[in-house]
Amino acid sequence: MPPSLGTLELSILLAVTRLGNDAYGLAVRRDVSDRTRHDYSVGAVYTTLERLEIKGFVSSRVAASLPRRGGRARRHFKVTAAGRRALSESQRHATSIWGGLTIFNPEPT
Amino acid sequence: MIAPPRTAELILASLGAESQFRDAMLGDLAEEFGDRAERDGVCAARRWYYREATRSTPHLLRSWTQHVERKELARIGGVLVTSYMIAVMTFVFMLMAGIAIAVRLGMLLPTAPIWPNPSAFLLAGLTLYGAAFWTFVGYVVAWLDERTPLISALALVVVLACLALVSSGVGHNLGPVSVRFAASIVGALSPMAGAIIRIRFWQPTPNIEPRTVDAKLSSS
Repeated sequence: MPPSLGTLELSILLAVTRLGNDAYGLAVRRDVSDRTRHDYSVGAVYTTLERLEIKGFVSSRVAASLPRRGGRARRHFKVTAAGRRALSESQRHATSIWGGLTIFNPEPT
Repeated sequence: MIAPPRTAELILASLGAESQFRDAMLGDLAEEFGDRAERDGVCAARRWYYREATRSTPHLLRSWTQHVERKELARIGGVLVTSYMIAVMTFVFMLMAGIAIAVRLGMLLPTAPIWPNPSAFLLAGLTLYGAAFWTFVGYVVAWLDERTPLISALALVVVLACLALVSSGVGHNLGPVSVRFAASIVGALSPMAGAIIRIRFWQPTPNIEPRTVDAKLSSS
């Protein structure tokens, strides 16, 4: 059974994994927007991160506050063991459903 | 360091999102605003901030709806009723004072019936009076609700919009439907103007206790 991860959830979970200790909202948003070439709003990214946290796929901690953020703290995210399992399942599922298709070139329209 | 647009920031902060979610999001917006102001200039950064604030508003509202409890809704209902009563009492007092002053000064009050065919001037006056009244109600709502001022003002707008939809279909003596509808919409949106005036002097306070999800995860 594949994990219940949407496209944005998967992209954000991968970004949090990739960024490691630097995974906070803005960095995640930049990473996801660069890779998907879609300008996601800050709100969309945080809503998704919150959803992932409720699902238990990421955990968060609040760092020290910074003047350049108006005295607010960064909230750093980390992938949990459940999150890593979900990613692994998702990759296995994607590999499975793409199986047998060695070349995929869509016809130009 | 250049600060982001204060009103937009306060509007976002007053939408009742859970405090950690709200502060992290506003911090990110402020950080990105600073980067953009250095790179693209303040005007471009401000445009980006307003656009991003608009796009993020539904997400903040959704965060509030996900965490809201029944007692919070009851509290907002109480704020609306109290604000309405305060505003009615204030406006009745002002009306009576106005009449008393007019009588004192020997001004003539209209003796001819103004209904059922009110003039356009009277309609405009009533619309302005209504807008002023509801702007004041919106201000009082935001003043009374220290936690989620804009949520309460939005609740009032929803109530008024429903009443506007109903009332625009009745009262045929008050002019064409389009005029009545426009007047109703002006009245319905006025509380937001009042609330925004108020929140410029408002300081956000933590609204919900930190969630327990972190502790649960860290212990597992």
